[in-house]
Amino acid sequence: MSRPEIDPERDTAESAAIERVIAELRTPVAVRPEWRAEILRGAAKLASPDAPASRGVRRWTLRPLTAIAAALVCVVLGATIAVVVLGPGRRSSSAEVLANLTSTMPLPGEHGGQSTVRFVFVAPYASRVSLVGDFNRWNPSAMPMRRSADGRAWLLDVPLAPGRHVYSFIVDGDLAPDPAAPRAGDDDFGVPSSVVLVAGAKS
Amino acid sequence: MRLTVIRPLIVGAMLSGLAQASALAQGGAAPMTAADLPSQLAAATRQTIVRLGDSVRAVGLPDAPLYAKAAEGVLKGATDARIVSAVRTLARELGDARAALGSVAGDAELVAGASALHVGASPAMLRQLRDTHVAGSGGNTSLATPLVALADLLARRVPASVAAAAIDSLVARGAPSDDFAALRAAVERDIDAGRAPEASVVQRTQGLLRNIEGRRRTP
Repeated sequence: MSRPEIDPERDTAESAAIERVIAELRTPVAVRPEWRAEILRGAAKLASPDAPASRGVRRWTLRPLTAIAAALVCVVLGATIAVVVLGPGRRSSSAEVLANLTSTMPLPGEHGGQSTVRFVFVAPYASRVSLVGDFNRWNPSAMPMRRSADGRAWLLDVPLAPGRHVYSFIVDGDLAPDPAAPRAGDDDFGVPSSVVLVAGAKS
Repeated sequence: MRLTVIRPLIVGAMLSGLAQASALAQGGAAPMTAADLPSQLAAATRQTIVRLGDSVRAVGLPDAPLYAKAAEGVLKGATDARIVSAVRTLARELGDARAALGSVAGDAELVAGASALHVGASPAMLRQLRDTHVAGSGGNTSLATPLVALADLLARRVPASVAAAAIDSLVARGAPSDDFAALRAAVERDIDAGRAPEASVVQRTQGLLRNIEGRRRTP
C-alpha cells in the first residue's frame, strides 16, 4: 500500500484554516454585566455544599450530548496546542498576544499635534523585526522593534501625525502585513500592507 | 507571508537607508519630499515622479503620498515602470477625491478618499458620504475614518453599494470612530469564518445602529 503524498499547498491552507478557527474561538464573547452577575450567582449555588455533587457528576457523564461536546472541546484544545507548538509558520496572530498588548493601536493623549501609535507584532520565534511605512520612507533600517518582556511580541511606539498611514513589518527579512489591522486597499505592488488611522482634527 | 525573493532588495534598502535611520528615529514622522526618493530609482523615473509631485502640489494636493508610494514600490521590488504607473494613478485619484469631497477636505480625507476610489468606490459614493457628513456634523470632524472603513470593506469584496450604504448610515447617525473599527473587525471575522460579505455587513451595521440608538436613549 503506497503512502499518500503530502500536498504542501493543501497543508498550508489547512493550517491557515485551523489558525482562523482558533483565533475565532479565542475571541472573547461580550457578555452584559447583568448576565455575568446572574451566571456567577448560578455558579455559586451549584458550588454550595448542599448541592448533590456526586449525583450531578454522574448525570453529566451520562448525557450523550454533553459527552460529545466535551470530546469536541478536547479535540479543539488538542489542535490548539499542536498548532502553537508544532505549527509550520511559527508566527502567531495578534489574537495570541497578552491582554494588554492586543494589537497596533493609538495610545491615549497627544503631543505637539501628534499621537503615539503602539505597533505590535506577535512573532515569538523571530530574531529581528522592524517597522516600515510611509512615516519612515519605507526605510527598513529606520525603526527596529523591541521584544516585549515576555518575549512573544515585538513593540514600537511611534509618534504620528493625524491621518491614514500605510505600514508593514519586516520579520527576519520578509515583509508581513499586520494580521490585526485593516489591509491597505491600494496595494499596487502585489504585497499587502496594513493601515492605521490616527484620529485628529481635519488635516 | 514569506517573500524571500525580495529579501535581497530589503537588505539593499537597509544598507542605503542607514544614513537616514537615526534622524528618522529621533525626529519622528516628517512628510516625504522629492529629496527623500530612494536612490535605487533610475534618474528618468525620479524625474517623472518629481514632475508628478510638482503638478499635484501646484493644485493644492498633498505630494508626500506620491513619494511614499514610490518608496514603497522600491522596497517591494517593483519595476520602475510599475512604480511610475502606481504614482500616476494615485495622483489622479487624489484629484478625483478632492473633486468628490470638496476643496475643504483635509489631506487625510483626500488620501483615504483616493484609497476608497482605488478599490472600487465611485465619486458619487464619496459625494454622498460628504453630504451626509456635512448634514450631520457640519463637516467639522474628519471623514477619514469612515473613508478608511469603506476602503477596507471594498478591499474585502463587499459589494460597493452595500458598503457605501452601511458607512453612510453610520455617518448619518454620528457613529464614533470606534464603531467603524468595530464594523470592519467584525466583518473580517465573519468573512474568515465563511460568511457572505454582504450579509455580514448588513447584520453588523444593523447591530451598531441599534447600539447607537440604545446609547442615545440611556441618560
